[in-house]
Amino acid sequence: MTTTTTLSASGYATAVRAALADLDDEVRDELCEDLEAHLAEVEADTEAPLTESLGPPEAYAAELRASAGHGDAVAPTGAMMQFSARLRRLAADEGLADLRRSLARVWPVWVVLRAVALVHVATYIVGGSGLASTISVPGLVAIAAAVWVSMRIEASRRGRVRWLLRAGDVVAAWAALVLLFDIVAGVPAYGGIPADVAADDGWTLSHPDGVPVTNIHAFTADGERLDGVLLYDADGRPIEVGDAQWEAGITTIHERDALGQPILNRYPLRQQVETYSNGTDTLVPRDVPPPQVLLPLLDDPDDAAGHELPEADQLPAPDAAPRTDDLPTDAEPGPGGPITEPTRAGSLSLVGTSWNR
Amino acid sequence: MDTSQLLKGTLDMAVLAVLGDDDGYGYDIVRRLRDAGMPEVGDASVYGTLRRLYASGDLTSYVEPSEEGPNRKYYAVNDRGREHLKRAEETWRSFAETIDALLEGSTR
Repeated sequence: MTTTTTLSASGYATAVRAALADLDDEVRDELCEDLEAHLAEVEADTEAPLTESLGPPEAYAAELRASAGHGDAVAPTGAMMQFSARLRRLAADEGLADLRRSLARVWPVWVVLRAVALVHVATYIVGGSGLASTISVPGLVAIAAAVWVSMRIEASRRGRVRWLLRAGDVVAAWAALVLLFDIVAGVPAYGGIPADVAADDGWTLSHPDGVPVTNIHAFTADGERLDGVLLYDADGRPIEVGDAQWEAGITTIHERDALGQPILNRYPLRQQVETYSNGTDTLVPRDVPPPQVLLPLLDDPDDAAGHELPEADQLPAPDAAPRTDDLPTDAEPGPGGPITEPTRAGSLSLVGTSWNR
Repeated sequence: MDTSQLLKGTLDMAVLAVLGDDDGYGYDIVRRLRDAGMPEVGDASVYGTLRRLYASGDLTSYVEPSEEGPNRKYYAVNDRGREHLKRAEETWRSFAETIDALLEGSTR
């Protein structure tokens, strides 16, 4: 094996070290301790390139190894060994030496990222929930511990242990991809939305128990169902229930504004479900009937009789006495229309129709 | 005769002898050996020999700053090294005498 290219002192030194790569790190470092100083002296001494005055770096390495009593180089026999020998020759290349120096600068970043990534993947193994577990206090403690342990191993001079760490780097690189994927894809799901709903169907408004809110039905205080109510939050943002596609077979038909844009915060939403038409086997879309609701009974008949939305200071009091007399009785099933069937139910009145899908 | 084969067995002794005169650093020892009449001595062989003699306890070392570049690692022979050199010298002289006698006999 002969290196014919002209090498700088650092390139020559790298090549010599590469040819001694099969030795323990400690032995190799000791052998090459004053290599750079030597090469600098030789360069200062002669005009000729190093490969001419000292011979190829591989020969230099072989001579150094033999005279120091470390035997001959382990001849690469198997395919794997030949591959690693080729890697070592590649590593001696000047460009790669530059790359190695660049990598050395970002190494501390990798040490931390490696720990974060491995802990992140480990949270799945111990039954955690990915990002949320990684950023928790135990997760951060585990990351700090992983950084410390890996630095201890890194500082170890024993070649075999460090090779183990290099293998660990491969695993960590994979773990970093998992982490990256979770950061990119997982953040929207991180915030209280049930993962099983959010993962497949995107965002949806939900109750604290995780059940999605699929529609909103508004009533006046006296039980009249309101249609075409536009809802906004404290910031004036439209309140939407999100994507209700999670409910199989239900289609939401949004009203559209003058520009043809769907009005997403107009309630109740018109929703249809496909049902079998009167004993036939033909599926026809049918409006989803409104739900049966329990309205609080109010103590002020005048407000309720006015069929107006209560003002803020006229909202029902929690201790309101039951009152059902003025409620409309013209029950007429169907969306939009008032479907009232006042029934005394304790301190509440029952309004609406029952609907069984 | 190819002197590189002879060098293999005698480089330890040569290095110890050079250092016995005065302490020196790697490349300095290479130059002193060459100046003494061993032009074919390999740089790497000398450095490797120094590492081995140091590891076996025949040499001590110390670092001194250099005006021209990196610090230089100087080597010095200790008592154990001097003992090693003495035994090697005895072996060499006895061996050389034997070879001389053989050569004289064959050419007479």
